[in-house]
Amino acid sequence: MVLLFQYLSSMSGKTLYTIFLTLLSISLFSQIQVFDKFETFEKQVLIKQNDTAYLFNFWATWCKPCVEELPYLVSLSHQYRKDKTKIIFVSLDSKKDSGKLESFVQKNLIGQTIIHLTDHKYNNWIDRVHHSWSGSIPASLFKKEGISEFHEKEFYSYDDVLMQWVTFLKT
Amino acid sequence: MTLFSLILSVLVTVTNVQNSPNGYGIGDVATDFSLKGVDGKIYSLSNYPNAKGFIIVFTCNHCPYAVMYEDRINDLAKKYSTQGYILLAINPNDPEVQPKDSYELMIERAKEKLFVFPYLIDEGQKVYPVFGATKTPHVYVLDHNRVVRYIGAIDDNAQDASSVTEKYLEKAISSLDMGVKPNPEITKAIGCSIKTKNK
Repeated sequence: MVLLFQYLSSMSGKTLYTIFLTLLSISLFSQIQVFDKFETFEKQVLIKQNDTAYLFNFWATWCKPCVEELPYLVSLSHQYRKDKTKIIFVSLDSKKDSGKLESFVQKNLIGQTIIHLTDHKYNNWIDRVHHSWSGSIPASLFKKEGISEFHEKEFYSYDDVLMQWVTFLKT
Repeated sequence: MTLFSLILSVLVTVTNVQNSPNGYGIGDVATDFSLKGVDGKIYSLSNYPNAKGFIIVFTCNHCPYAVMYEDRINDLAKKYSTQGYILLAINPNDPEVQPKDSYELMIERAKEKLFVFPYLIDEGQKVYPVFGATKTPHVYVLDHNRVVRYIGAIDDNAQDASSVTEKYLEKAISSLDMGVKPNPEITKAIGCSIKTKNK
């Protein structure tokens, strides 16, 4: 480690900075969990039963309204940081766009919980997220203690998502 | 027709209408529409009195999923027009919300991609809510009586046409040809939400 540091300090400041940032981002910020099969995602994440309220947001980097609503959801996650609530961003980008997703996440979703669901046999699993989902994105599933609510629409403002989330938490 | 069956059919029709606030389900009869194509002509289902059926594809210019299906939609139109099925593509998006889906850019895209099917614009967004379309691409197959027989996806692999294992739409049409119910009658796939100012 000391040797590595000495080696690094012999480099120019800018290169060092770039390497440092890259290492940091790989070690700390590569927060994307990949699921190739919906069943695994369902078992390990979607149907977890505990006292936490979950907001699953289904999105993709290519989906404009999805990208537009992300900041509102990020703000919501900060607002509820200490409560028993969790926002999980489920990207439906295709497998070949993993790199694009990674850099998008590093730029816009640092510190958030990101899942990359690459199972493209959609007809096998869309109904299992929620029977009312036709498949359009953005879409969000609110879920707590056996209750769920599905929103097949985008959130138009922070207040919009906040109001719906607060209402759901009270039900 | 007996009085009883007449009353029954009226009841069924009324129930169907009342039961479809979110658009058509399997078995509903589609109402005709008149929409402008990229060639400037107006298209209606009644333009095709001899059609064996219709493939109505809600699609658009901007959506990456719709784009992935452009060539496949064109191939379907070529294949099925010779068999008496008419493919009509409808862009349901409000161009003020998504400028890439303007009528002018539809004309351009149709030329670039040599679309062989009528590419229609849902001006005023009056038709897609009647169908209950929620996304692009979103497909409806109607039989010759305009009865909705299949709703959903074209196939099971948007990203890669060569890796498709189930051609839902083609399967549904062969079922119609054989006079049996498509199986599945409804499929689901990821797509882009329809762009509208009505929130």
